[in-house]
Amino acid sequence: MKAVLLIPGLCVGAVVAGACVRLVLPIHTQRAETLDAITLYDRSAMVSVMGEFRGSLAGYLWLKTDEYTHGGVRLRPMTEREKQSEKVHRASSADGLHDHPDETGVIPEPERDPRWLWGDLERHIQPYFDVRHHFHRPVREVLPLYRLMTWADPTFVQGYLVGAQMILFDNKNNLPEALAFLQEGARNNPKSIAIFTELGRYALIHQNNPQLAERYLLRAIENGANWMPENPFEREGLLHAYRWLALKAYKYGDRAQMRLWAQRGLERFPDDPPLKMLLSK
Amino acid sequence: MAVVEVRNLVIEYRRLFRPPLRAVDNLSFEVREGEIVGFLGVNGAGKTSTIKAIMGFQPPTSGSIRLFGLSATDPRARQQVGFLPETALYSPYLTPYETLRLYGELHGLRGHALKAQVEALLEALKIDHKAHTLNKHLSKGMLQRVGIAQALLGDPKLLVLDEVSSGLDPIGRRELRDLLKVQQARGVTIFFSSHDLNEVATICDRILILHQGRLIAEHTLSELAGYPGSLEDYFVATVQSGRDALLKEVAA
Amino acid sequence: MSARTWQITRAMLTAGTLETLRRKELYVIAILAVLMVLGAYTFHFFGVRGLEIFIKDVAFTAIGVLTTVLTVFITARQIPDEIQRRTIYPLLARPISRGQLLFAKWATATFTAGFCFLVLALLTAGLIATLSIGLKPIFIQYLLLKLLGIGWLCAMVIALSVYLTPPACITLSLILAFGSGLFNRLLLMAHWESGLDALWVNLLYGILPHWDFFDMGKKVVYDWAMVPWWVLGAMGGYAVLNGGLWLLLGWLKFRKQVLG
Repeated sequence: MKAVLLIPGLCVGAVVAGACVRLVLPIHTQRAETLDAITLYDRSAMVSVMGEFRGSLAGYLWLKTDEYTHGGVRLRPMTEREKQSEKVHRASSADGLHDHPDETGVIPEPERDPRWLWGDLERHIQPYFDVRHHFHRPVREVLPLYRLMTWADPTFVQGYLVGAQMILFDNKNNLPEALAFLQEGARNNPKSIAIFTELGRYALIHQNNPQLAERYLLRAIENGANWMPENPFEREGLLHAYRWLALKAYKYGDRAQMRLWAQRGLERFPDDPPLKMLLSK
Repeated sequence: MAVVEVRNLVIEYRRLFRPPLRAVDNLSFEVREGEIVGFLGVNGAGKTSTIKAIMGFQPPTSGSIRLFGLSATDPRARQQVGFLPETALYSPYLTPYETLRLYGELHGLRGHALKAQVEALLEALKIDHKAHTLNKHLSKGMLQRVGIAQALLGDPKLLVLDEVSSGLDPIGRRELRDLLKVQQARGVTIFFSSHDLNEVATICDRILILHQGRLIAEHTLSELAGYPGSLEDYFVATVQSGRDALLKEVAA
Repeated sequence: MSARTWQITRAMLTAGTLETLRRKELYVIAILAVLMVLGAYTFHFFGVRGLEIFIKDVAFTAIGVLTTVLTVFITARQIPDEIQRRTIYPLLARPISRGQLLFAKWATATFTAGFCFLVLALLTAGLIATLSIGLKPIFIQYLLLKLLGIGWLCAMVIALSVYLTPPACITLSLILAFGSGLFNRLLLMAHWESGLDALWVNLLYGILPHWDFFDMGKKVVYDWAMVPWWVLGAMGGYAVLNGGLWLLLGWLKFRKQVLG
């Protein structure tokens, strides 16, 4: 009888404990941050579960992009010990275009592999290259992943940001496709900061349309007003919105506006060197 | 000549945090060439444990078992043995024909000899009309016939049958008795356990009665001819007295 | 192998293959693999271009996962099923040793799982070829290496099936197979991070299974060149030695095991 009561008791206990933890430590997912402060994910258990699944799928595809780019070779962040070691090599390339600072190969190079023949076998059987002069496969092979990850999770902001860059990187004539991809992201994430900053940057650099750029960048700043995002993409998007507004003013000779946006940016990001530099100009 | 020779056999099962369970206790007997010996006892008497030890599936705790003068664990000893286990469920995804071919090949038969013997047994056991039906679609009685047929593969000189008539209908039991008689006429030695005392009385030359792992009676059927009741009466009385004797022994 | 052992193996193999085909697991898994590949291809109809790598990735991941699961399930039931159905008794009542039975069961599992893998792999390769996606010659080496690996994995699972209950055997085998890459990586990281040159780390690395070393699927997906043939020879040597050790371990227990 005791055992019969124990199991439901433990289940109820686990649920109560879980709820308490959830209240004390609210989960701020990256997606949740791109919506309102209180989001659908935080309010509905079912939506949260489904959202997490979609988010996990998108996250998985996001990780896959790195593998696709490197022809199946997997890289990983270096540990603190490895960063200080001279034996561990950082992923870099002869042309410097493919550098990954603080990343190294999952399969070690022969000189730091203690496994002798076994290590050689792994280097032959699994995709492997020496990270010091590694290569990237054609970008177009990765593009489907960005399409799929943003279909899987339309609130996956970084998918839109990097995906648009990759579309353009594949072919410079793909600007309309890249813009369409970003605009789809903006429609799905009207509260996103980073996507509007990126649209602003595109308008300024690729479309040469300062009015449109200003509208997008102001929208980004409006989305980021009164809160500081923890998601690095959104946070960087906010910082860049101030930078691009200041740079735009600089480009068109409006020093007062430049200092104004630099000043406002420094109020949010007091230690940012580019904004300090723009303020002092 | 003794075909089966069991000497001072003890089988114990180890149990967690409890003393070992003695299933067979100092058992000795012989089965001679050409005999049909019935191995009787109530459920849990130790019959199946003894049969498993004879077939080499169960290592004895102590004592010895010899088949045709060889150790029971020696594969050569089993060259001349046919065995029917209690309630074996033959692969549901094979047909009786394939099942018999498998066991025939394992026995060492091959080619035409194998095919001829499989077909003859299917016919003798009256399962030829179901020879190509999957085992999972066969009745319990039909599966028992498949089991008996596999035991007869390779023309064994010794048949060890555990609960041979289980699952068979009255007609099947009669056919089985006739089949065993034919085997005996061929000089095959048969050692079998059964709860069907009528069947035992009909075909056996000798019976062994086991109770709580001990041999409490061993008689030829002719010795029992003078007993006033049936074999069943004798069995019940013997087991009852054996139980009483054991109780007294324990009490003493 | 003696003629008698070959005869026993051939008989068990025939029965085992018939049983596996009639269980219809292979068809279910083949249909699943086809659906996964076609499912990946359907994105083509929604305007997604350049799906070649993605489709190959899905296909070879599916083959890898399904083959592992199928191999473990086929092998783990070889001996326990015979014991549960009590058909182990009429088998061992024949003039065969327990070692011969164990070997025949391993051979049956290896052949059946290898056959299922080949069907899956060739079916998938044919399917992706019809989608105009080519495979490089390394695909042949992939097939050979995987077949060697299946033989090795069957030896491990059949040994575990003698020591453990079927659910425990399946669970542990799947953990060891799917987790092999992770365990090995963790040991290597521990080696670097803590400077562990201790004998036990090397021993542990040697003892832990290396199922991931038998999978060149990633190289096929990304069209790498063929590997030197000595690599396959070395892996074959490992499969024979390590697999033989597993079979020996299984036999040590099985030869004295009380059945039923």
